[in-house]
Amino acid sequence: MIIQGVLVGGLYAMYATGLSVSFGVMRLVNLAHGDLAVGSAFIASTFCLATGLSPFLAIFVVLPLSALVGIGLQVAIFNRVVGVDPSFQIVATFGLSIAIQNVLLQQYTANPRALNVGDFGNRSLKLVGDDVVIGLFPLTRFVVAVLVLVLLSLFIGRTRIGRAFRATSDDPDIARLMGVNIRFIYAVAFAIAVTTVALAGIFNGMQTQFSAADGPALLIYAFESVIIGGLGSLWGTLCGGIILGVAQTIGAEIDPGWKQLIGHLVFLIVLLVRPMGIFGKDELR
Amino acid sequence: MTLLEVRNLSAGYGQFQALFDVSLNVNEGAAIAVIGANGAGKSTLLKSIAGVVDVIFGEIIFDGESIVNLQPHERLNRGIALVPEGRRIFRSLTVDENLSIGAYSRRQGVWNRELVYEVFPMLAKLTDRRADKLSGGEQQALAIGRALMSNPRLLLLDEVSLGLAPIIVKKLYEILPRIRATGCSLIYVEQDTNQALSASEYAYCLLEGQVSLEGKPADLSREQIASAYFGIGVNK
Amino acid sequence: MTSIQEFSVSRTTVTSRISQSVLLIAVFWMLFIASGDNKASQGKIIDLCVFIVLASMWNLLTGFSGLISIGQQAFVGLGAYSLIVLANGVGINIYLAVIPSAIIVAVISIPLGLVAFRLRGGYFAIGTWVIAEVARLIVKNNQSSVIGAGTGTSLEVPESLKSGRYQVTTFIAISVAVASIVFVYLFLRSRFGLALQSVRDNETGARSLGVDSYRVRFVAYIIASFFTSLAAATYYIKGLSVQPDAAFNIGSWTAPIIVMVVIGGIGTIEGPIIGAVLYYLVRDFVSNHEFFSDPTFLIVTGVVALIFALFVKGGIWGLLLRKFPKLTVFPVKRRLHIENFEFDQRGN
Repeated sequence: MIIQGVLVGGLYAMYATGLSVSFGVMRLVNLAHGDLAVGSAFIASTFCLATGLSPFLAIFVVLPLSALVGIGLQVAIFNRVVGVDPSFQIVATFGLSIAIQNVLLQQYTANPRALNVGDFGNRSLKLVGDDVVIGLFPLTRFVVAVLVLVLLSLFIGRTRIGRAFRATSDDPDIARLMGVNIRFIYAVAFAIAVTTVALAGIFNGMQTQFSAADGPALLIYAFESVIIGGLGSLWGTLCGGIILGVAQTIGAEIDPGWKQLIGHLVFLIVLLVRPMGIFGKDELR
Repeated sequence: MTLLEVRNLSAGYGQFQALFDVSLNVNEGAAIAVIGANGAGKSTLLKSIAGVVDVIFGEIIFDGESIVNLQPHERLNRGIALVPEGRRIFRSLTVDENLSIGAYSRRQGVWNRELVYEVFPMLAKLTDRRADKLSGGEQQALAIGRALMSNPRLLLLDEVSLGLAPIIVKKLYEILPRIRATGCSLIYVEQDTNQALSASEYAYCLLEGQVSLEGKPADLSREQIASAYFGIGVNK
Repeated sequence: MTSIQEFSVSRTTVTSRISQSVLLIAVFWMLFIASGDNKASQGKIIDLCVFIVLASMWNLLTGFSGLISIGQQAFVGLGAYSLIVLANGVGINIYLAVIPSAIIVAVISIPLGLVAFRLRGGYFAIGTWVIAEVARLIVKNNQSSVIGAGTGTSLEVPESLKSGRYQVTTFIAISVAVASIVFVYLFLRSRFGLALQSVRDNETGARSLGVDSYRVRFVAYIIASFFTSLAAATYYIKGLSVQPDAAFNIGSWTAPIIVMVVIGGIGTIEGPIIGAVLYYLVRDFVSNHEFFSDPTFLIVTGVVALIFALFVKGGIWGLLLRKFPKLTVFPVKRRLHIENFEFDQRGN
């Protein structure tokens, strides 16, 4: 059961990655973050229903699309609210969130949907004899999440553009003086954010049902994972996601209504006791 | 061989104008000092040349081309590098990574990591140290080294002596001739007039955003400099 | 150099006197309706007044204190439920319970604030939302019969009070709205209000002048919680039925509030009022003419808020101010009068 929680944590970490990157590089908090995940799941679903192909293939279509959407949003909206009074940032992204949710509601009605992965969703893996059994799907999902984090970590730590990310995060004005085109960096960062959250949304849709209004809850999970794990640390976000996942699973065992509540309470406790998070640092790594 | 020509520059921050009708020339290979008291506009002048401060009026011509409407990164690509006031190195990057970011523009030239480490041996021992763990002098060396990595033709040094012990300042200024030898021109802005004047061949003094005195350091008397610096007895 | 012989500093202007009189007339008109029998109009006035208060409070936090909150629904729900507890549970007269219920919520807001204030900016905003969610889930999952868990409960109105309920509630709503606006106005004119705005504008600068930025913001947070729950209590005396998912719903409360303030003009006292009135008129129009579905209305409001936040940052009031710089209703800035000349703070 705890392992289930850990595996769910991987999913939460994937949601959180985008939030972490966009905040680290641009100090942007995008309230529509969760809605983008849900939107991607719906688009994947439309694709699958239209073509009859597996959702895994849909990933290859939706992800590039989400990168483009991310760049589009950055250019049209977010570039105007980076660096200025954060209230406008919040209001703008809040408005965007409402708009997206209701567009989805209008297009797809309030009925929940799911992405059909056939048998894969039910297969399980036995570890340690018959006592510990984990689903193959959650395991795959977790592995993908870790892979994404590893890739991102390498990107930020080792490449020229990754260095530019960190420099921009430290001091955007001076980064400009180094020849870094800040708008370009922001666009890439946000594209990464939207792509990872789209992937997370699709994986979520493969296992559970999703509906138009799910976005905000996902935003909160992402947010809590980042805070618990610590701002500025990608691996911290993974841990944060895992802790949240485990807390929720334990909560659900006690009482189904307590699932979210326990997660929130753990978050609040971490906030009170160690506000910088477990691995909190000041910068993006 | 005028590398940089600043003509009748007026610049400022929003509603606050800091420079009024400033003109300045830098020849290829020269070292120019800009001195003045706090708030005289020296930093603003460098920042206008680098492109981080908006120009209200006037012209900046670099290598025959007007650069007034270019973004900072475009000016860097043409060879203008600024070592900003207060060091402003990237805290979370290591010494080596700071230098790498300096080379982001991929401009070709003599400067590379090895040469920077040779010129600043203190940095060579700290390549993997996080930049925020360096001392003031080391950070200043890093800031200069980082700017050099872009192989600039014009290096703008904004108050590099600020907050550093005199010995360290002396060491830094000893390195400057080596930089000039590679074909880079320099403008240094300083509050410490002695150091700046002894290292340059032409000087400008700014007072409240205007040029109050200019000339070869050898031709300027102490009294002239003092009155131009402080504005005593100067007819406005 | 000209010498200034006679000068004085004042705040009120001719235009502010005129517009304040206009407002006063509006208030009297609402009171007139309140004393009548038209329940539909009374209901609308109650809703409008409630939202004026909610919008003003959100504006106090976000526009004047720099605290961006998307969790005000926490205080709406808490206000509703503390009213229920006092009225149904303890047995206090429903009208008398209004102010005490708000005091209870203001007290509760203190530990909530202690947690929320660990965060800043955008993360503070989400934090306030999480707090609202926690409140909702606790209420939803509780076992007490007074609160009623997930299905909610209703305010019990004794027979004697039933007939005049709408009228009395309308009076209460108008009073609460007027009181909150007057309070905000006086508050902002006070030293405390000045400190608050200085913190919003430049926290480091303010702190270096001795302003305790944390305390100043905390007080604003508590004040907002108090008035928000007053408004909530008023709303539920009219509506009677309380459910956790509705009372703590971000979409029903925070979304319209934000839209109202952004469209009206963030950071001004007049803005939220204009925004609330406009929103109400549009909403009314839309619900009477069936071509807009609910989601479409929300999409439009979301997009409008987005556009205003990007391009019309001062809202409608901001636009009006640019055309008529001397226009004020609630003057907070001081003006210098020299002989026959008037300068405002910018020296215009």
